Amino acid sequence: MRELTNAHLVAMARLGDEGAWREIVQRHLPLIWSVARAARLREADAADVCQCTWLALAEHLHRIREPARLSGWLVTTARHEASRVRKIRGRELPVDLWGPPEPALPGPEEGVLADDRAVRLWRAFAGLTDQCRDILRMVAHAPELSYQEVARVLGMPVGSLGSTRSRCLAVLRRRMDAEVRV
Amino acid sequence: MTADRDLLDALAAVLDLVDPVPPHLAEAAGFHPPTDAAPMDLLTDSALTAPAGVRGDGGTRTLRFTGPGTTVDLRLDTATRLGVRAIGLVHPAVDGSTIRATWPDGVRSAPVDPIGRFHLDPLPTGPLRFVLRRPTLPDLSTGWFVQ
Repeated sequence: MRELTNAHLVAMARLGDEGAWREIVQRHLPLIWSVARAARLREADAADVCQCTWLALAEHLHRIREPARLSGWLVTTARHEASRVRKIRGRELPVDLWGPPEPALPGPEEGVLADDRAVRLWRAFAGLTDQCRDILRMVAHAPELSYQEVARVLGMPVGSLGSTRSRCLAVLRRRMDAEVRV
Repeated sequence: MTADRDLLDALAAVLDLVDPVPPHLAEAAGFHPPTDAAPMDLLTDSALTAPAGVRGDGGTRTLRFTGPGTTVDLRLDTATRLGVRAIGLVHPAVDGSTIRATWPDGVRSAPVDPIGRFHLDPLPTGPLRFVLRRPTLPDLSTGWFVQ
């Protein structure tokens, strides 16, 4: 199942193959979760966005025109929903004004990172611009996405994506190295 | 290029460790068979048009959906964490219609009155979908959205 393309998995899931459906979810869950969290959603809201994305996929499975572009479709759907949830929740008053604030972004929980290289990589990534983080998160979790798809999902001109991606990676690498010397 | 891919793979692994996907999410992503209802289009959503960071009138969201010859206006109030209150208007009204709110593990129905009004309360926060059922006409469904 792991070696099948997204297009194959969609075709099988359309015929009711539960294994294919599970593989689609398994393959894309880290990406979709990461997209929802990148919109600065709390865990519970990010979980709702993930669930809503799968429900929307089940509903649209027979209508997706280009199954090969499944990853792009899922990311676009999750980003739209996350941005709406962000706006809705942003308008609500906090329930408990005196409770501990929930961090807007996952904090640098470096305790879970086993080795020094991972810690340096995390620190370097956390210090990048939003645009660099968005691009790198997407190409890290979904290598199969084309430049056209990444550019479309992030609303960037496709012509500049390649150079921006390279620049972001160069900054990431440089800062990782700089961490060694500190 | 391979060095780039190695770095990106390492980054993916770090992201998964620092902010892991909650384990229950994969189990919650079971396949839900699609509805037979015809899809309605989302025409307006106050969550898209209201400026971010501006508190509306008590967590109220208004949405308008259109289907063949039919419009459904929906107003969702999430004043508390206890639940969502939905009131709405179908036009034109068809005698004997019902509206059904669906969420991943539940459903709640209410009649649509002769003027086209309906009221569903309480509904959970999270993914929701509304289906309009009419005696002689095809069912109409909104898409899934998070409230």
